[in-house]
Amino acid sequence: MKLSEAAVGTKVKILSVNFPPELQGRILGLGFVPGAIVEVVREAPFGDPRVYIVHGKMITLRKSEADLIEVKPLSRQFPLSMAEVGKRYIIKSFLGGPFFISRVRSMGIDIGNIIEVRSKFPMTIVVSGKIVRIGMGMAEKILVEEI
Amino acid sequence: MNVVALVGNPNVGKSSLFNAITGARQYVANWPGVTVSRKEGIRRWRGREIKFVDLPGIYSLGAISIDEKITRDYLLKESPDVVVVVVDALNMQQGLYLLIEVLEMRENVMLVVNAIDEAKKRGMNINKYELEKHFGVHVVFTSAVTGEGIEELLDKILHIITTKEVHSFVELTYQKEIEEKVKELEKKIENIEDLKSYKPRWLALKALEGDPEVLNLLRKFGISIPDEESKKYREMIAQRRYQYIDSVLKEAITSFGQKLTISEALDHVITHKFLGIPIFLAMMYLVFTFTFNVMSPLSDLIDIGISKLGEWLRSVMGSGWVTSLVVDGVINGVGAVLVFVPNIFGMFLALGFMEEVGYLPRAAFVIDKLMYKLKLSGRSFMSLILGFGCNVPAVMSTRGIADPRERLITILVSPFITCSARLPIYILLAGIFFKGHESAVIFAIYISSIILTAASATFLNKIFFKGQPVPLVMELPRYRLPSFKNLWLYVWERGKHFLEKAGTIILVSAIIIWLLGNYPAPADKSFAADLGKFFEPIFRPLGYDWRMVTALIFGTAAKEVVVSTFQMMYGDPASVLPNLITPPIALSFMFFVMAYIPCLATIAVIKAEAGGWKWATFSVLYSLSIAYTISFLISVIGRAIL
Repeated sequence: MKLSEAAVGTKVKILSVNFPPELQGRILGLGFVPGAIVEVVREAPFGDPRVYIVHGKMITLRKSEADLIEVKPLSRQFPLSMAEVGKRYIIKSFLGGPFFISRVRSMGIDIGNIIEVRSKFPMTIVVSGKIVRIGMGMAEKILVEEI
Repeated sequence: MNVVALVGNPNVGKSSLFNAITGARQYVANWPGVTVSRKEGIRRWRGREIKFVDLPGIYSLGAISIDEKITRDYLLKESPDVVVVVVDALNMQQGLYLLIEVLEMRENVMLVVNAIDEAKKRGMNINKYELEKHFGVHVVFTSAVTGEGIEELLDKILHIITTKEVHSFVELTYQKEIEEKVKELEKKIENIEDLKSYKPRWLALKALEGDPEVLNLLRKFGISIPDEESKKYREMIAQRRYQYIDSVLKEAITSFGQKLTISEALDHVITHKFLGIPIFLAMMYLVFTFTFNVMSPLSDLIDIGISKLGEWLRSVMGSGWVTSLVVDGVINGVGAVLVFVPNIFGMFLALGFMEEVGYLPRAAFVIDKLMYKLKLSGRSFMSLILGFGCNVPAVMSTRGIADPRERLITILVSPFITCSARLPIYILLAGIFFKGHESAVIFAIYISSIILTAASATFLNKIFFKGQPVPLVMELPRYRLPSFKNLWLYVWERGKHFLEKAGTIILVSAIIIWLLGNYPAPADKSFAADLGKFFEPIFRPLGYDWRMVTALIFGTAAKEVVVSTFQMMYGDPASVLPNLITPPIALSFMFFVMAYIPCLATIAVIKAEAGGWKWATFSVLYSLSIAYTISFLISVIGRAIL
């Protein structure tokens, strides 16, 4: 997945960096090298750009630049928002409060369910045979693991 | 004389270190990219004179932006006796990356770990010998703030100069595939006579990384690397360097303190999703309130002082043309500008404080989405912010912008950022026509100036470049407490420029205006009147008096001169002007002053930086037509409403 898709607060590992040659050197020099771990710190008003920490430095990248960095989630569990289309996942836990949990449950989503991601924008998943559409904010609070 | 070059990432304290060593007084900003050209200073140490060269901060030795090119060319073509790579103790990785690159390029290198006092405060323990062992260079820990380690550094430099001994030589070995390629290229390069001045290994590595300059050079000798290969190698090389750095630091740093706690808490609020922009606007408003309301009493004092001086001179010298020249010309003309010195110093103090603590890059981050819409980046925002002081350094600082397109646009729109020289005119007119609402009116002009800059950027991008966006890759520095010394340097360096202008160009203009205003006969029959009246028809639709037109013409020398001209033409603008024009016309005039022709100094620097008269001429005509259009609209609408 792309670095731009990693949720705020998560850590990811860089797989490849695909900037045009003129910028590639500077990006690599800043520490965005394959194998490096990147933390997504926060996002600016309107959601773009975002602050990342790589090799101890806080660096801002726009979505258009973060799109050029291919990453994978560092932990086995990650938010559903970072899941890939077409893959199957198992729901591990919820990050929201009781109100949030009762809401997702009412949509038929619960811990232990196996889901498949149909599309990302907007996010639609298949859960126990039903197609459910959920918001990105919600998807960020559902932790899943790939199977 | 022996020469020592300072190299490092932006914002690691290179300039502070340079100041601490040479005793120079160079302002050190808390945002990346301050040193846009190299600075030199001399330090006498143990009977030897050593020249220090402070090079622009960079992240890698590529050659994309001008500051990178300056540094790289210097290291390649000049031969400093010692190259000192400066890294930040709290965050050494990126600095060490640069160290590896420099080491591959040349031999006489040493490492300085700066801000060691801050590292100690955080309970961080760095093992000097591990660093020396693994990088094969001498290492000195310094703090430019406390002065710790400076003498040791000078001794080490002297040691390297006299003995040529640079510790041991450690060469980073890359992956097998890379090393094989390097060997192969090295062999070819070694046989070429013209390349003898370069290190073969460096050329080989750079070629594998796909460095355009090196590839161009090698192509002449029939050596080339396909693009898709160099993309792969470039990643592998960078990856290996960081792997090495990580493994060294794991051994060299023994205890991590808590990291970034205060910074994080502050950032959480200041760059907050929803609060970020309101906070930015509130900060800007505070700057203006401070500039006007807090500093005004001081201005009033100076005003009284100047008129008392004039009265006294008149009583001593009697009447006659000499008295008139001295009192009406020089004292009033220059005095009219000097009155605003406290306001201008006040604004620099407020802006300087924001820069010092590290707010500016955050502001750039917060409003980047808007800049993106304009096809600019937060980086050019930082150049533009400098323009509030003076457009000349704003245009100069665009050298740090990597993208030539973005750089040109930034240069062309920066004159619309209303500089401090225009401030006296706003304060004068707002004080006469908008009493009690000065801050609000002037804030509105500043906001309009920002909007105009933004609109211009979009427009110029559209017509010249079909609007491609520019990437933003920017480092957010740590917050730091402003040091009084540094803050004073900031205020003084900028404010001094204003005082110098008062003593030179404004003084000369005042005398010329006095002459033109009094010969062949005073006032209505003078040359100044002829000049103003000649151009008046053009400005009639805007509703300007011929004296205002004269002031605008003289104002192209330096914008403060508009105020001097007013003083001389009207005697007491506060009592005369309200009978001649209405508040909307005054507002229209303020906007004209905001937007019209950059001053002579700015035109000159645009010519130098944008390359040639073409862009300078364009800038003059463009701004003039914009100013006329806006002011025309304000005058017409104003007349219609009243």
